[in-house]
Amino acid sequence: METLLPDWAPNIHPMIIHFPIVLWTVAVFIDSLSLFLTKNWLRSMAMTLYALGALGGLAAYLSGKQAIDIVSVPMQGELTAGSHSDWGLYTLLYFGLYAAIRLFLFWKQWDRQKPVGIILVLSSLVGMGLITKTADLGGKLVYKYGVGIKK
Amino acid sequence: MKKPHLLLVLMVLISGTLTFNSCNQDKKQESNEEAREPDHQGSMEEAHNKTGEETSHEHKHGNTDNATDSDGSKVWSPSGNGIELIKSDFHFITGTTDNINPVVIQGENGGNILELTASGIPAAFVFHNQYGNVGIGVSIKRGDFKGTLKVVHHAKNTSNYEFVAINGNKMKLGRVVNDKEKILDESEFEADAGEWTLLKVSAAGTHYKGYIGDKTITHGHDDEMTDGFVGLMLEGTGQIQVKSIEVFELEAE
Repeated sequence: METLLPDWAPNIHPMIIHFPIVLWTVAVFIDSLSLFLTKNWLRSMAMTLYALGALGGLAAYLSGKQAIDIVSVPMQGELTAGSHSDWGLYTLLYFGLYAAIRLFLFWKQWDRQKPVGIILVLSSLVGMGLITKTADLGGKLVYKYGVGIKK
Repeated sequence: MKKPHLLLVLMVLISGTLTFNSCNQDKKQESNEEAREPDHQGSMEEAHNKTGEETSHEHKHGNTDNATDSDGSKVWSPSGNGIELIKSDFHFITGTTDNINPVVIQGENGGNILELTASGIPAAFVFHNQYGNVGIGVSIKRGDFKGTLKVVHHAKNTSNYEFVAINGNKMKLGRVVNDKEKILDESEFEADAGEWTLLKVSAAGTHYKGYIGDKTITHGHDDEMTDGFVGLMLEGTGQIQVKSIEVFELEAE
């Protein structure tokens, strides 16, 4: 994997993390839209994006677990690094659980019901909150403490 | 293109642009904050490289310089009489000064060095302050020391403490709770015992790490322990030299 990295990249984590962020964000948007435009393809699209978002979350978490022992973290940033890691795990667990439940409801076609759809969209916003918190701490590690800015 | 589809494409484009702009603004704000922040990086490395005399010029606190730096760290470096120094700045949770025979000597570059000669009876001396989340950096030269050197933290007594221990080229990270030892991680490292080595330890929430220089050697997780003392424990025989000990109080954000 290391050989696939560009010369300037300290590890693969920063290249992966944007996938779950974008996939989940677009999924929530499409999902919200499907409440108003009852199109089947929107439902399928949202489901696919949530599943891919969960997979992206897994890749981001695993790459982060590897990265944290490679990069140099200044002492002042250790608490932030620990919190980032913890929130990353919470996000991954939430994404995984949500995608699994979502897949089940999609298979049963129960997500077509309006009240279920509304609850699902609201629950996906919790996932947005988790990913925002994790990303905020990750940004702090890089831009405040300079973690992983040099190979 | 049908109207609903066109509407959808437009909404995606607008939300994408808004998200991008907001991300950029956040980054700008953070980089401005970074510009205002004092330079934290390399503080420990600086302490590791500085001689004791140089650091004393910065703080001038009697025998030891125990002042708080702008980054929240306290750098301790030896001076004066070894036994008096240990008695004033530390207290023992096991052993006595007789077990470590502390002497302050002049280093090759003129700085002060604390030389400890371990007798074989375990001895642990800790600072008087107690810490929760903490980072510690000890600049050491192990020389002919045979045995285990532990950086202890969250220490209450010899029955309850956390540690990063080095013995030869092996590092163990763990804790002792009610006399029961639990190893959270262990690994090997490369460092010449005859060279100055910066041994770093961090306890941040439930995350515990042991470093040699900037390289993470051990990393484990466990419950947070209540505040305790920070210091060194020697279990072995032979000489060991200490140039400085830096303690960071890690603040919750």
